[in-house]
Amino acid sequence: MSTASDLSVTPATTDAPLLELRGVRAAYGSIEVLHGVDLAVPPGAVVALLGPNGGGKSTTLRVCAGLMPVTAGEFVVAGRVVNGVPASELARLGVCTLPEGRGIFPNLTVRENLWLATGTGVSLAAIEESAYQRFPILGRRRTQLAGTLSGGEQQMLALSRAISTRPTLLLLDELSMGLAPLIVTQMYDTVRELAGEGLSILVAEQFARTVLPIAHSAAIMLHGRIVRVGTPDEIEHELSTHYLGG
Amino acid sequence: MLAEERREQFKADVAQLKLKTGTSRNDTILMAVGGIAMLVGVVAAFLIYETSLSKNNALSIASEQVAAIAFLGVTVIGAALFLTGAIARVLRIWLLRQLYEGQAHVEQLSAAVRGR
Repeated sequence: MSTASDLSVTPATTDAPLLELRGVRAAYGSIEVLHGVDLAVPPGAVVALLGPNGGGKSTTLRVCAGLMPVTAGEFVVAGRVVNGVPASELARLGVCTLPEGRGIFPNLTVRENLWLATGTGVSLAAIEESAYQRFPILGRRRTQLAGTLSGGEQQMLALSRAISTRPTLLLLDELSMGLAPLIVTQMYDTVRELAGEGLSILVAEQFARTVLPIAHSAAIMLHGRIVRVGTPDEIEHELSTHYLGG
Repeated sequence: MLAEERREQFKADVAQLKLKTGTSRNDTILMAVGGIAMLVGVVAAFLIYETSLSKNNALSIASEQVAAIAFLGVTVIGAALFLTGAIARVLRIWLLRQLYEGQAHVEQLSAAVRGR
């Protein structure tokens, strides 16, 4: 296991991280679930946050999205400590979250779901063009209720809505949850394309091997702590040790 | 918009972000306003009272003494503001110390439990 001193993500670029957690602690009521998390997302990098269920990955993402307050430590965005910043403010600035469970509105059609993203100032036509170009299947299902789409299509819709807001930082929580392996590969190919376009991405993923091929760096999280940070190759060799608690 | 431009825009927006944190700055403002009000109140009340002693007209004396009492009121309000700021600062430090000691205690306990 690594010591605390070497728990820093190696940046893909030499720029200062776009998002950084320094010794962050967070709690649900009196129960602390993050016990001093150190994590950095450099500009244009894909950082994978891995670990078994209950490790604190989703909570870390909630902290990064401003949905959960930091009880100690520093939450730094673009070099500035922003502890206590509301989620709405971060979303307005360009931090976009794709929550676990997709976060679509099942009783609205595909088009209406995309319509909701126009609140960020982008026109519906532009959002639709971008979404249907990236995922042509959504174009064919534009009048269909989102709840009747397959899991993969729902995830495509959620991802389309997220990226149509032109975010700077994308937070993805369990993108592969409940999806067929083929669809997972397709989703992560899209994430790879987005990273290629310069987007900074933090992905929390239980199934590590689905995300490691596209990640620039990875961190393993156990019991609310980052226990190992390294390149995807380094992490891949140690996955079973950490996941099985060996 | 290119990713690089978008990123620069993001950094600029974050730099301009107004956060509702660091309310301790208000304590300093309260203490400063309170201090000034106390000083002005005391000096003005004394000066007006002194002036009223040299007056012969009962109406002028009464009105100047009312003004002097009003300035004493300003002194009291200033003292209240000063005390509010000072007490808030002390309580904030006390609370931080409690949190710090509580956290240290929890860590000590969890370390002891782990060691068993």
